Amino acid sequence: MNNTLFKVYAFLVLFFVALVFQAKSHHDTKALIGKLTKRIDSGDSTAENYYNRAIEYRVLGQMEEAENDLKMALERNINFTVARRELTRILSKKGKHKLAIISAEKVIINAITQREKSSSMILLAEVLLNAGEPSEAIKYSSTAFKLNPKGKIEWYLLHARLLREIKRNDERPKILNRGYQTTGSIVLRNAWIDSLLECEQYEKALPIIEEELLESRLKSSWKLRRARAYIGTGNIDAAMNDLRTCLKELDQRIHPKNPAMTLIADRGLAHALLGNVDTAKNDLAHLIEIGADKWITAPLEKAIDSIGNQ
Amino acid sequence: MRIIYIIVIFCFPSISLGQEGDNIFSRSPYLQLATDSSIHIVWRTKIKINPIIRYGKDLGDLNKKIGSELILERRTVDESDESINDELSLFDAPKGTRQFEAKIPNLDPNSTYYYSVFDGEKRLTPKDSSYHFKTHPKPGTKSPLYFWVVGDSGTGGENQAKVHSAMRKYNQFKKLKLDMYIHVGDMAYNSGTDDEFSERFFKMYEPTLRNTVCWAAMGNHEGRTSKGENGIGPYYDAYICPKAAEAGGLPSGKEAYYSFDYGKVHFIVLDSHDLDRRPTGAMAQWLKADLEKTKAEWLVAYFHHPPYTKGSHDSDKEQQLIEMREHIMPILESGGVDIVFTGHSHIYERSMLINGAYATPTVSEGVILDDGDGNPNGDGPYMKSAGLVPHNGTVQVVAGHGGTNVSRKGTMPIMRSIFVENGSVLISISENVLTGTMLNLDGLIRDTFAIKKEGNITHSPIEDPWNPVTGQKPIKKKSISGGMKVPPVAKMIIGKNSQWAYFLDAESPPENWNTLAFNHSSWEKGESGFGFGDNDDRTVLGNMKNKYTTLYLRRSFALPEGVDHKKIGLVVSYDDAFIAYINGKEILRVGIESGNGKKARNISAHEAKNTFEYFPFDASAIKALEGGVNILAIEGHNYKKESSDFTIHPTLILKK
Repeated sequence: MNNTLFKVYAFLVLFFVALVFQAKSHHDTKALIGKLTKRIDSGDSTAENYYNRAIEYRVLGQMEEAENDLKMALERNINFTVARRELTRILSKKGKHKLAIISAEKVIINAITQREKSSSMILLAEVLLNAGEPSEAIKYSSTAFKLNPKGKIEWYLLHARLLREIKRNDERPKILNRGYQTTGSIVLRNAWIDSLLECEQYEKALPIIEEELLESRLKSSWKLRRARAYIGTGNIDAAMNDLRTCLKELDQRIHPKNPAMTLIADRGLAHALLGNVDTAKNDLAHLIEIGADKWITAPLEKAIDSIGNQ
Repeated sequence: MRIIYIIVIFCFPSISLGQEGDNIFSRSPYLQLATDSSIHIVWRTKIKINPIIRYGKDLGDLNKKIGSELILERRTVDESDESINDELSLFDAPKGTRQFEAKIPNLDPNSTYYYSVFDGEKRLTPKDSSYHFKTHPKPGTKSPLYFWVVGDSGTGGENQAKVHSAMRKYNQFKKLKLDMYIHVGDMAYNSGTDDEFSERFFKMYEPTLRNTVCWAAMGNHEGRTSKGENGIGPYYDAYICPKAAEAGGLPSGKEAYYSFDYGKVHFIVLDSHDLDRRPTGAMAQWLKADLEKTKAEWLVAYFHHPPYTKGSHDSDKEQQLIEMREHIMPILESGGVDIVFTGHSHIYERSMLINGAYATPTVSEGVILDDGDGNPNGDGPYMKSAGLVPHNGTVQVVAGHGGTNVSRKGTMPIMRSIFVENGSVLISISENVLTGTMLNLDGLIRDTFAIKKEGNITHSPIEDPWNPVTGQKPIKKKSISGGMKVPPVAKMIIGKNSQWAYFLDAESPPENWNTLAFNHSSWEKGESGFGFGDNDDRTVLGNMKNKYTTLYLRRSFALPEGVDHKKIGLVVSYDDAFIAYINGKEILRVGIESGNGKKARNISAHEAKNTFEYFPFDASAIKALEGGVNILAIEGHNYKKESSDFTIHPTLILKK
């Protein structure tokens, strides 16, 4: 074997070893962190290595370490947008709102295409909502829609939520219906029906609810919606009947020790509408205890309040 | 020189032998998005062609045609080409790539068609019966279903090929034909790039993909280049997923998560990697709505990150896995899910019948509905009520063993079958029985389980289920306060001052430390008795006081031939308490009310006083004995760290 061939051979052997090493080590989160740490400590402290390690720290829920690594990544590459987006989300989640807003604004500055700009606007809107500034947030979600009129499912949900926060409930059906027509998402269709009920547009919602009740296997959420419509239209007996059958089905679906969050919300609302305030309050307290956000608790809170005001 | 050439060919297949020279396809034709009346055929070329699909029910008479006007053409973005919009561009395919997506409409349900791809009049695929597709049966109609489940396979390596080949040979031998192929993610290592997809997925599975639809869930490795949020990337270029409920279910509006029907079976596919997994997220809301709507009789869910695993990943520690368990599993089980397939963790793990196991860390107590092996020829299938009934039991299958390196971190307590080897899973659903088979890369069946649905079945959670560490149901021993006077000894099986392996640490020992299979070669060795403080110990544990309360001991022994098991017993000097195991099974508990290891509670004080007490083997201890080598394992406890002394000196005797 001559010298050149030997070099080729050696290269290929090393190539194989590297492949095997990569294949063996990259699947275990802790092992990958260890591998990236070794690289960083040995001088290969690139923005990518810090970013990749941050992502693995996030997988393990080690947010402090993730935040530090993202900052290091950005120190090395100020235009590393993916890292900045990630850092923005972590800061916002940790309640460092001012820093999160500044970070999101930098993401907007770095955005080049329409798509990047619009999704950056949504990021800032999310951060502002978390910071308790829905009026400011809605300016950015509106801009995002102007830049990208088709939008995305999550954008419509966010925008509708912001409208609720700033007490412009009447505008919610329109944006949610537009979202449904644009994306076809059943989540937006159902949110639209809920918004119709909240805006007391019962006649519009009822035919769709009736159709869903005919076609669905599990009917509790649709019975709950129909009961709300019946109450709105003064058909109280029918509403009470729906609420009772709704609760019967929910008893089957809700695990006694580990209930699903959205099903507790449904049960609480059914109890509230039946006038079982204490049971409804228990469900609300349970929801808050397990970390349900306002999006889930708001209808139940409103129902409990309205009983209290009667 | 020949060797070098072979290595070069192996390393760089794309530049070797001009292997695509005669083949116009850069991705051979494969099937996508089947319904009861339509299917998609997708392929790629490196040159411009006039694409035509001819198809028909008779291989010799492909009498129907889809012309180029109905075939979607997607291309790599060329800056000079302004005719191409975002939706028609390919993410990072090689320059000049053209991807053709032909939807074949107006087909008969549950019917087989043959097809061929043409460039104008030139036939590009051979006249070969393997180029065929079968439409789905009408939703809601009874039809048997047979499908293949694979995860974490996309290395392009030998094991991946072996797993694929084993499945094909098995089906050939059994005369079985796949109706579909499910991939639970990580199909194109290392980053799911376009090239990696071509080499490590499409080329590898080509003979299967040309006649079997692969319904995919995105893995974290594909997630490095493809994003669920916007549906952009090589993964989304490769697959056509039913975001508008084209194949049943409810429209998700995203290709990242979707559902589809096959007869009376409803499939739900989720993105566990890069979308909001919270109950308030759009994906969870869609899932709830979809579950409420379906009227299928079987419910199958799959996604990448396993809610329960101790393979190469740990579901008690990693965020995505924890969230899938805590947030998504309650929704799935409240909708009556039957079976969940996942990957990510490079192992095969299959659970007992479970419900409500959402806690972190996962425990088995109170969440197992049936702790049998589920094998129709063993303990029998898992029984469930007919139809879809909330919280009636789920089987979890981690199938992350499709080709990459397998490994194991520990034992997930809800699992019934665990194999650390490459393989895949074959599932058949016929009438009211679902049968699962784990086939390893050598074509051997390593696990079989079944779920049978009949009548109205009510389960009660089992408080002390079968334990995958010991391989047995735990037998709770009542704690006793002391032993008997030592009888005359015929033979010492383990004598005084014998050599033992021991473990003394603040941490617990490995969970299977007391079993026969455990290797204690890394433990320290010493002669009994063990302890400190009262001058009666051969191995003095000088660092135990104020630091540790528990010492773990192991020693193997063999029984003399023809021995009367009823004459065997332990003779122990102890201060303060201990638990004894034979081959992993607890046989004796002295002075400890409950729990084991660090969880031992209510430990009584007891002075050894340089005396020994006798504890004869009861029926359960005798049953735990093996014919050849056995392991006697003992955990000795001090009732508190600050105690002034500690002793454990076990012997095993045969009385006269």
